[in-house]
Amino acid sequence: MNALFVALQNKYEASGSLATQTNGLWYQGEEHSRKSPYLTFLLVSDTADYTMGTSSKVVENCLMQLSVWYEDNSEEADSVNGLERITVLFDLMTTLFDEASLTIAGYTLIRCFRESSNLLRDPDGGWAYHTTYRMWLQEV
Amino acid sequence: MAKVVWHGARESKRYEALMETKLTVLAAEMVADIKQSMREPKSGIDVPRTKSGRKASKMTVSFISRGKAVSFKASTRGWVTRRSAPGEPPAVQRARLIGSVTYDKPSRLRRRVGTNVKYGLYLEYGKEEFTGMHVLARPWLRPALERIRPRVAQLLSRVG
Repeated sequence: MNALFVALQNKYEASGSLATQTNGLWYQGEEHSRKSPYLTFLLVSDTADYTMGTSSKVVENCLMQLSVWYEDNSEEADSVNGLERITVLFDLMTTLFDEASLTIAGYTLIRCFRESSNLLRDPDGGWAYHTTYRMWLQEV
Repeated sequence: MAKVVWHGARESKRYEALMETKLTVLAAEMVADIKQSMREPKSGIDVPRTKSGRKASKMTVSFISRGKAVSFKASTRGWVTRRSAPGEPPAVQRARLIGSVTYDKPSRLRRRVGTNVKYGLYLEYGKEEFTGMHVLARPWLRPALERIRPRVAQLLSRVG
C-alpha cells in the first residue's frame, strides 16, 4: 500500500491551502516534529476481497484514517478558537479528499469517500478530528 | 366473494422481532470477534508486566521507544507480556479493555458495540503527544466491523 501513501502525500503537497496552513502529513507512528497543526494517516484495514465483472484484477477495499491534530492548551471553556481552527482545517481536508481522484502507481482508484468523522477534545490539550475514508482500488 | 384480510401490522411486528434477534446475534458475534482479535499473538515488544493493585517491586525497566528513554517499575514475578505493534489490535495486558467490550441496545433495532474505557478510544484512533502520553493507533473496532460486514449482509438479507 506504499503507492497509496505516496498518492496521499502527493495530493496533500499539491493542495495549496491545506499544505500551507498545516505542518505536514505523516504516517501515524512516523517520527516527525509534531509541530501543530498537522495531519496523519493510518491504514485501518485493507481487504482484497472481490473482482469486478469479468475482470480478474483484484479490488482492494481500504479503510484509511486521516486525522487533523491541533494543539490547544487553553481551558476547555476558552478553547473556542481552537475549535474554530480545527474545523477550518477539517473542512480543507475533506474538500481535498472527499471523492478525490488520486494517482496511485499500479492501481486505479474507483472511489474515495468519507465514511465517518469524529471530533475529539484531548484532555491533555489538543483537538483531533479523525476521519475515516473508504477507498476502492483496482489493480491495473 | 373472496375476503382480503390485511396482516401487515402483525407481519411487521413479527419481522421486527426477527430482526431484533438477528441484530443481537450480530452484536454478540462482533464482541466475540473483537475479543478474539485482542487475544491473538502480537508482534510488538516484550515487556515485564506490572501487577495492577500490587506494590511494584524495586526493579526498574528501561528501554528506548520512539527515540526516547522510557522506564517504569515492574513486577519481579517474571511475567512477560507482548505488546501489539501499531496497527494491530491491542494486546491483552491487564484485561481491562477486553473485559469491557460489550454491546448495548439503545433502541429495538439498534445495537452498539464498544467500551466505556477511555483508552479504548485512544487505541482506536491514536493519541498524539502534545503535553501528555503518546499512543500509536491500534484499531480494534473498525477492523472488526469490516470483518462482520459480510455476515451482516448474509444474516439480515435472509428472512426467517
